[in-house]
Amino acid sequence: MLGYAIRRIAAAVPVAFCVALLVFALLYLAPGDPAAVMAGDAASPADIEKLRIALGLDRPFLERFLHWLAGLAHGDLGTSVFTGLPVSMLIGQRVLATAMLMLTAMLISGAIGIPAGTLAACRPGGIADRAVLIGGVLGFSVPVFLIGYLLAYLSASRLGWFAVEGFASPFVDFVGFLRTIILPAATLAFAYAALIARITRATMLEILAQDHIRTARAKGLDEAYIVIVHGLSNAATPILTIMGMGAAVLLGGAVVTETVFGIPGLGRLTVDAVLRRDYPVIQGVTLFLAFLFVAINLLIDLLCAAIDPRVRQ
Amino acid sequence: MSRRGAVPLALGLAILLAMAFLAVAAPLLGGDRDPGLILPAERALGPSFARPFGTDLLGPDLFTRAVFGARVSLLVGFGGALAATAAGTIIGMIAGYVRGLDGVIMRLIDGLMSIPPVLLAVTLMAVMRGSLWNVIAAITLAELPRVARLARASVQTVRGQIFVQAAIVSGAPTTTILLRHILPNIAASLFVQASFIGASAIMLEAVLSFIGAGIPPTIPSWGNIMAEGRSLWQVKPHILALPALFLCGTVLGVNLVGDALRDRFDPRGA
Repeated sequence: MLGYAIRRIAAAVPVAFCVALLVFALLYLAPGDPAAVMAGDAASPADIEKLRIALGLDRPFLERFLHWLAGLAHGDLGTSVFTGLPVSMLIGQRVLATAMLMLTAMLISGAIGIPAGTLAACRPGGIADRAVLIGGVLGFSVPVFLIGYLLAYLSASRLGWFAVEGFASPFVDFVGFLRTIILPAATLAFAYAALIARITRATMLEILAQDHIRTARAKGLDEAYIVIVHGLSNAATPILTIMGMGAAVLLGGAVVTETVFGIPGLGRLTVDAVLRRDYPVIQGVTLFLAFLFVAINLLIDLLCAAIDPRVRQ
Repeated sequence: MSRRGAVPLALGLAILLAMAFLAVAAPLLGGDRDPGLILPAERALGPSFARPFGTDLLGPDLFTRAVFGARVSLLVGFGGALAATAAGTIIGMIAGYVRGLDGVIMRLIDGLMSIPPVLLAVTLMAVMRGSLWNVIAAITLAELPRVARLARASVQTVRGQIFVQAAIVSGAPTTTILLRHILPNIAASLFVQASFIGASAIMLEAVLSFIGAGIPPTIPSWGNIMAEGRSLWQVKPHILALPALFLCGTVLGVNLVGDALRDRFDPRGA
């Protein structure tokens, strides 16, 4: 296990480096001059030149990249052009809301997707199976923001149980947290639950056709026991792996969901930075979220190795 | 193909044909109304007999705009799918065939894949000016890693087979081996993947426009019409309704066709 963990962590290092290189290079290579965009349409060429030197944009690529990397190593992601605050501080202020949103969405998706996919696999062609197939296609066909508006319209403006705007920290006001998080988390969970239901169904179909399941049935074991203990526990690894890869759906969806529901998270920070062309913030948040994605997948791979010895080989 | 797979395929194709018809015939169906026409007196009207889907914030007929939007959204979907599949296939084939480049290319592709597509596209649009071609370019870059990985894996499977070995031994040039012997054998799964990219490209365009980082608002795309209706969604939800219906219908159609193609050509890819 230790050997596997070391190998897996070592494999993540070059990926993380490539992410950093890409995030930096994309903003470097993309057509258009960040200084000109940042200065606005009214700026004179002299103003733009001044800003370019102030930002270090006149330096060669390698020098700028190494300088940026050195800052990263100290946790310095640069300074926001718009607010003048350090990017790492802005991220620190916003990370809780996004983390809570994603965790709640994961819980909701797992609680819906895994049982739904399992039921579908138990009776192929049955009602649950059809529902999962249809729900799976629908989940990938409706954009996140529409689901958000639909949920907000149906529940908040009619029932008034949930808030359609804002965020409360669970450590300060737990009831307020639940009131504000349910709708955005359900919005975000829609596509993710469809993904989990689909992979659970496909994996369980394969597992339930295997010999050890037939043996268990021949022994006369209870069907529910067979499905859960002999079936589902074997499906854990593929489901977890897809949940990790699907975290990209959650991270991307969070950008949109936070905009719809006015949640002060990292997604909203990104959108604001994009609209203000605040390049250091865009760079910092994109890098942070990409690292988060790499870290989630690393943790899930380690978790899979811990619960399934076959993965360790 | 089983009967069960035929119904969704037919439904998907019917939706796509209908949308393609709307896009091609937009100037006829849109009537005498220009999608960019500004009529302050008729702004944000609800559905009526003359304008079955109402008007948007500046006055133009929503049906006209949504029909013209079909042109933009379908172009984004088709262009994004084509460009991402072509670029991803080339990169993936090189990585899968040339062992010396495999490591470097795939680490970069892994890095690109670690940035969630929505985030990557938004970031790219922040640097580029908002234009139709830049949106397609951003979507292409966000979607191509998945194709590259698929192409690489497929090439590695096919490369070991005897007919490819025979071509290598007979001295065929590398480009011939890649294009004549390998590409036809991996095309089916790439084609399936391309259909799913088309669906997510249309969604991604809508998301970019919604955030305000997409195609300029003067060009009617489904995303742009919905972005306009966003500020008033609680009082005038009708502005969102038609473009939303068109968008979801089209994406659903593409997904249905994609699923059917996958079941037929690439059953292991599920």
